[in-house]
Amino acid sequence: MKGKEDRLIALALLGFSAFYLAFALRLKVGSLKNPGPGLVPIGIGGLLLFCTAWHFIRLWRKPIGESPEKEPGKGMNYWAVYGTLACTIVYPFVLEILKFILATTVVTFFLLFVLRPQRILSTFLLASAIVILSFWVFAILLGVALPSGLLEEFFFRWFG
Amino acid sequence: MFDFFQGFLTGLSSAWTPLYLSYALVGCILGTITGVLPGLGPLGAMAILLSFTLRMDATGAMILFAGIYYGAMYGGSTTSILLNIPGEAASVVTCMDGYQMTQRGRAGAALTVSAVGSFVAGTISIFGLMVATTFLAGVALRFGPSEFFAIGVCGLFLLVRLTGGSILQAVIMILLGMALSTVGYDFLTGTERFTFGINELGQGIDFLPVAMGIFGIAEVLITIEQNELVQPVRKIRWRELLPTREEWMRSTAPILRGSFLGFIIGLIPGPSPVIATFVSYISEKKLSKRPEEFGRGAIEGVAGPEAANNSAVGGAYVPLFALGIPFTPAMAMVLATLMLHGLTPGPNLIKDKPVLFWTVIASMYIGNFMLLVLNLPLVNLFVRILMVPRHILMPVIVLICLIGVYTVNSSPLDLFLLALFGFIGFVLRKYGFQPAPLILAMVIGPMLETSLRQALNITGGSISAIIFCPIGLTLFIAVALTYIGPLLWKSWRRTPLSPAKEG
Repeated sequence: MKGKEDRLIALALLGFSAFYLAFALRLKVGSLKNPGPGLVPIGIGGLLLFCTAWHFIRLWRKPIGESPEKEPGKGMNYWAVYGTLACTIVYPFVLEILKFILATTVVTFFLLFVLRPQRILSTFLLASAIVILSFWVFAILLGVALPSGLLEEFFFRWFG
Repeated sequence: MFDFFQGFLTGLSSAWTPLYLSYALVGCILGTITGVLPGLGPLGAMAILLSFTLRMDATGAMILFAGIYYGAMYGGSTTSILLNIPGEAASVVTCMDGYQMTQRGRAGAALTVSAVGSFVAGTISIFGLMVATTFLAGVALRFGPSEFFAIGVCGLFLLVRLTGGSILQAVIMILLGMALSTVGYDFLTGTERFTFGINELGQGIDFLPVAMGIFGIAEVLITIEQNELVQPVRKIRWRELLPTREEWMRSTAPILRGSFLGFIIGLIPGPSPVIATFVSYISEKKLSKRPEEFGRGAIEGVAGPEAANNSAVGGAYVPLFALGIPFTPAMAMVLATLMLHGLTPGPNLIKDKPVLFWTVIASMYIGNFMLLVLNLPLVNLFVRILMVPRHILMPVIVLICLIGVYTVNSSPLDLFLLALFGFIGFVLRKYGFQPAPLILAMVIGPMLETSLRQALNITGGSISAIIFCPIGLTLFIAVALTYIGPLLWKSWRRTPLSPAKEG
């Protein structure tokens, strides 16, 4: 239900505000004549807590509405959304271990697969083509320093 | 002293080099493509390309971004007219009459009027930008921390008023942006703030992963959440592109009006190109002798708003160049680019870097001309971009974001921040929060804090001296009027004057 999710977001914002203000209060405030590093964060934190609390109370008082009916042919693709998010979170880990080409191929393969599941071989070939093209553009053409291993060395030599 | 015309001529000769011409061309093409693609707007494109501009000089980066911004305005109108799909928010109004013209077989005329109108408006607004910036920058040189604090605060208040949607939600977004801007070492005392022992956070949260997450990754997530089908595209023939004499006659005045309106609205904080199109459309409808035709394919409904959104782009550059304060999220991106190149925009920029300023101005004229020449002949090609399957395009955008963020600091933390802010941006937008004020506040935040603390130091802690400085007071009253004015107007109109009630 939309109302419940709205309340959850409002609660998360309220939690963040309280957390921010609690840490801001540990900083030195100083005086108006000689403001310290905590003056502005405390001001922001206080206002943020007030606004998020107001927002939360306002939503809490509202009755929870029914979810709107989905339009035909317009189903929400949550699997693709969460899959894409997972790929972006996993990427830094695999990049350190597998280096650019392998890590990016794995992530691109999964991205392509979660967006439109097709045959594994054709998805893999498409992912490889995208990665090699991006390696050529970024590493060779633009000279961007990417994490390199044996495979990258091979492609550096291959592209000349 | 750098003379006005001498400055422009120097800029023109500098912009007329193969390198800068190629940046302008690439910017225009990329801008048109992002304008054509629904979901990915100029902001997303700028965010994605932000890290790659590090390989250019500051002038080149500014030229590229100006091309993207203008190009997106041109590109957005193409899909609005042909497919009833607004490529970006500023083209929503164009759908109303543009698509109706397509239904009546006048798509070519609508596209030509839109392109010519955009060109005329762009040219007028760039001239306005030149005049207004040089004048305002001269005045702003006398501003102190109190004035800059007042301008920043008033800008944020106006942004809240004009963002649309809930005012409370916009305020929360601004405060969140300001909270993010306080992370890292305090610039005056060196005290660590909200770093939680993570050394990399000492320098603060980088603008780049936040912007790319909120506008790049979140945009992709929103696009892929909807399983939308690609519409078939009708081909436009060359001879269809020519409007009739009557269509030209009916378009001339709306184009000129839209250009002036757009430039003025562009100076105001908030989504100025979007507001400009709505104001222009309403004014044209009110001024028209045939208001009943609006919504059924009136050419004035295409000419005015299209001129207005392009003109607003020029207006939006004025506060950035003259005061160093971005009033729109796209300008925040431009500011971030300049800062990445070690430049501080503001009144001193024109004095210290006149060649950069005038080269960018001259390149805007060139870019506008390029867009006019490119857009009409290549209209069929640009529309075909919509046919690229989303399941291929979206992973490519995600990859560009990932590589783009990684290349700046080679830091895995930046990649985590990208994913985190991508998710936050997606959730916030899904539940009605506009992320643009967050980004703007994050950029303006350090400037506001610096000016406030400096002003408090100078005035001996007197808050009244900061609020009641002449410029500050004028601005605060003006902003207060924008809040109170509509309420007073409403209550005045509602006041019953009938004798029955009075008795």
